[in-house]
Amino acid sequence: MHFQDIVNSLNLFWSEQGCLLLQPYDTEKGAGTMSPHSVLRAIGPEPWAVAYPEPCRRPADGRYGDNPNRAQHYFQYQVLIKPSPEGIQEIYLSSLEALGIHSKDHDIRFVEDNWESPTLGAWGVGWEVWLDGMEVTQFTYFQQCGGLDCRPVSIEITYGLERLAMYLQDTDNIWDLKWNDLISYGDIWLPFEKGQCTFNFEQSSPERHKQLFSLYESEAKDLIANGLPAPALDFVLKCSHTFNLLEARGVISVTERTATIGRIRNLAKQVAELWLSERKSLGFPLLHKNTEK
Amino acid sequence: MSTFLLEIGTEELPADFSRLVLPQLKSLVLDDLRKARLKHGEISCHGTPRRIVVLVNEISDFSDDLEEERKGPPLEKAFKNNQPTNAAIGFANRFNLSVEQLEIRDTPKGEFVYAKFVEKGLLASELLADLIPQWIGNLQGKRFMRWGTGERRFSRPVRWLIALLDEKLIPIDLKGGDPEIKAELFSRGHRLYNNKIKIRLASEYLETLAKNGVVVNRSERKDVIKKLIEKESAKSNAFADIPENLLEELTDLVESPSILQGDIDKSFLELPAEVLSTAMKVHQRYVPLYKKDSIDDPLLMNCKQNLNPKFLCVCNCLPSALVNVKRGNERVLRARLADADFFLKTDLKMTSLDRCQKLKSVLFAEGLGTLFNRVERIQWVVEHLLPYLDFSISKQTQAKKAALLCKHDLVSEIVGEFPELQGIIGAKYLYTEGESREVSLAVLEQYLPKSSDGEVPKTDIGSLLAISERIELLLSIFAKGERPSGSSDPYALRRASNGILQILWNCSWRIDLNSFINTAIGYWNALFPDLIVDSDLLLTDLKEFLRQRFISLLEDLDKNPDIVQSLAGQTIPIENVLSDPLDVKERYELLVKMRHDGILQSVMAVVTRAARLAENANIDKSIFSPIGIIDTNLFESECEFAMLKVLNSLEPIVKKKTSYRYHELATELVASAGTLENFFDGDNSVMVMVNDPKIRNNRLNLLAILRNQAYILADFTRINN
Repeated sequence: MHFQDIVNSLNLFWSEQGCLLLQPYDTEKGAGTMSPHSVLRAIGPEPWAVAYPEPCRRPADGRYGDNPNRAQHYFQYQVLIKPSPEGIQEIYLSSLEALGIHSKDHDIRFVEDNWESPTLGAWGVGWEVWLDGMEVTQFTYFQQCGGLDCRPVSIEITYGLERLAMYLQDTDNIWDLKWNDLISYGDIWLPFEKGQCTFNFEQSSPERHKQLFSLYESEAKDLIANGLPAPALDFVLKCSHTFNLLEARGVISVTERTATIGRIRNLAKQVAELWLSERKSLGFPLLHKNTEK
Repeated sequence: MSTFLLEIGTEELPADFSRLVLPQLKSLVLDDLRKARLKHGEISCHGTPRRIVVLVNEISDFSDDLEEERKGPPLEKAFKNNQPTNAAIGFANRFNLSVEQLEIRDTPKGEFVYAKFVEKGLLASELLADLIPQWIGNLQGKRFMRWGTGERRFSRPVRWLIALLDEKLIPIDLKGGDPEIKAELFSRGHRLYNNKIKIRLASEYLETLAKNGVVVNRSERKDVIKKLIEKESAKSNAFADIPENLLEELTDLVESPSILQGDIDKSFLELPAEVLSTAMKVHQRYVPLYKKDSIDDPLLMNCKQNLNPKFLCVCNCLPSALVNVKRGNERVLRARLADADFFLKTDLKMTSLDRCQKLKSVLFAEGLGTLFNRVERIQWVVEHLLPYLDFSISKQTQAKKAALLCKHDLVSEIVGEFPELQGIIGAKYLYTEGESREVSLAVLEQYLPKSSDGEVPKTDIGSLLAISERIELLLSIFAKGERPSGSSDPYALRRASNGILQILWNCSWRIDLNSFINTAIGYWNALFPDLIVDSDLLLTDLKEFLRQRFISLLEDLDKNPDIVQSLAGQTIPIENVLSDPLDVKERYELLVKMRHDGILQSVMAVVTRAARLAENANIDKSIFSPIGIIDTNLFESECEFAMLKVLNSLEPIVKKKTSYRYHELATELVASAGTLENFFDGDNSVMVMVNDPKIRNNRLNLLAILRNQAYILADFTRINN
């Protein structure tokens, strides 16, 4: 199954489950969760069911394309359903069937793995899903987001698309994955990977990025002060990504790290509260939509 | 009599949940059945990844009747003119009795009416229907969650519930979850077997589940896994490396255990055994297979002589899937090891010394410079501790070299991937580059002990480096103003301090930590003029912190908290505690032995008595000699001369510098206990607090000197009877 077909199959599967199919959000982020379609929509009483592929950037994970299992830019497929429905594990297992992974031929396990995003002030409990010993999916019942208790609780399912594709295509090298019949993952992404790694590890200017961080932080603060949660989130995400870039350069000490994460979390918390009050002032419109499939 | 079954069906529970809650559940059930007066046979609790189970054999269908009685009003208020009053009628009504059924009894406070009644036993099913939701609600675990729109909290969502007395369903509504759960007759099998299985009879539960792929009994499952591992490792004539915690975890990761033996490409045996074994055990929960004649040398770079190119994987799949599952697991391990191989090869392109330079680009902690700076400080500590130790010149050189190289592997790729291998990898790289075994092993051992009962360094250089590394950490973190508090100890300073003491004790080294810290703080002060605001305060905090570690470590040895207080408690000046930690431990052991031998008591009694009175005396605690203080002309009794004789014989012992002096001092104190008692209570005893101030002070001084001499051993006033 080609990489693009995996995304298609998951789209088809989850749309049949009543999920809204969305596109990636256009700001750099370390995980699909950070898209407003997850992190903001998980807040408050309104129901929500969404699925979307999302590119992720983790600057420190890059290896210049030399490592067959690692990249600083990769894809997640993200599903978020609120409130979490009964039988979601079984639904997920059927999504694997849709990809041609049949439970009876494998050892599929749900192994405890609790998730926490210190920068988002979010945490949840759940599992990593093992497919014959390989972690292919992360399952999380959101308990808190932006420091707010999640009521109701959302379930988030995050597929590691490259892992799944490597399994389905029986290859040991991410760069050899077939995106379609003709073009490989490496054909598309390797030039970016090499250049980005040089940027992340060597060429980025720590000084300027520290300045950028401060600028983004100020912008986020002003936007919060002006009651604009959506654009404020964009700048919180920019802070978070800039912080990751600084970390990749190794210029953040342990304590500075804790303090900086605290600053981002503080912003994320305010954005969450602001978003909630904005939705409230609108009367939580999605509560009144017919959410039946 | 019936069999009672409770099955709490859940989504997959964390692997340590069963271990945590099964004992809780058993004691809740046992307790509540007793309180409910429900007779029962054996109670057993089980857990699988998807269920928590209670089975109770031979439970009564009704709880026992209870005969009770209540005291009512006094007779004269209950009956007036032989007629029952309203008080008597009301009292009888409360227990559904007629007035005639009330009894009259004499008590020390006069005659009273009594009601005797029987509280009838209740239906077991009704009692259990009340108890079950309480049990579920009372289980305590880590990180509980809510799900859906519900407010119920549990480890993972509760999805079904079975509560049966034999074949009868106990009606239960478990509220608060989403959706709410009603007890039913249907369980779930293993995910790959039947999804809904009817339980006809509680006593058939285990068997029915077994038919549907689930070994419910946890200890049985553990045993099955253990046997599977033994059988497979015997096949390869190998030794399975299965620590107890891994076995426990595997037991809680499967409902239907089976095993497969996976192959590892032989080329990966060029990697260190620790890398393979960490990838297998920690990352993948596989069991590594060691050759029976494997060589235990932590400096080996490859594991060709140690490991079989195999691993055991405990599975939860259908037997028909094993071939497929084996391929999948081999792939995953291959990817992990290929990663490790890649990191190792990258690392080996650089020398350890070059990596030390790279430490300059990694910050240690805010205000404390880079890891390179930290290493410089560790080097300083090592150099300044060496004078306390009897190391040969070559050993001193090696110790300094080990300090220089101690952290190079923190910037290696492989430690980035396997942080638990810090030190181990550093040592291997050094040895490969031709460094001596001593230096290499010291780099490995600097991280020992890893816990309070963990292995300590075996070599002297390793011990010195381990102590130095921890002292540096303590000083630096304290210097930047952080103190561990409550549960917050991000730099694990408690463990670090414990390590220092454990190593000193293990090596029988006498290092004056008190004066060393005083010297070191000057050096730190010069390094960080901006950080250290008040070095006196820092010193007090740090030393008091060490005192607390001292106390808690000694208290862990065996339970003699009063003796610990007499040696290291707040009444003991801090320099007495820290100037020779080994000395404190030796005295601790001596006093504990005296307690066991039953001779501590008499010494404690007499010294404590002397010390209490001596508080009225006016001499310094540092005076150990009676000469020039005690005036024999003021003596009035034999017992005073006897006391002086004891003090004279104790004085030279007290002034010795050897560690035997404590034994001698203790022996002498024990031998003199009778003489000393006579001072207070004998036929020729004297009053201390007499009116004549000269005589009084002379006697008080005798006691004060005794107190001072005994104080060398311990503050006996802190020791309990």
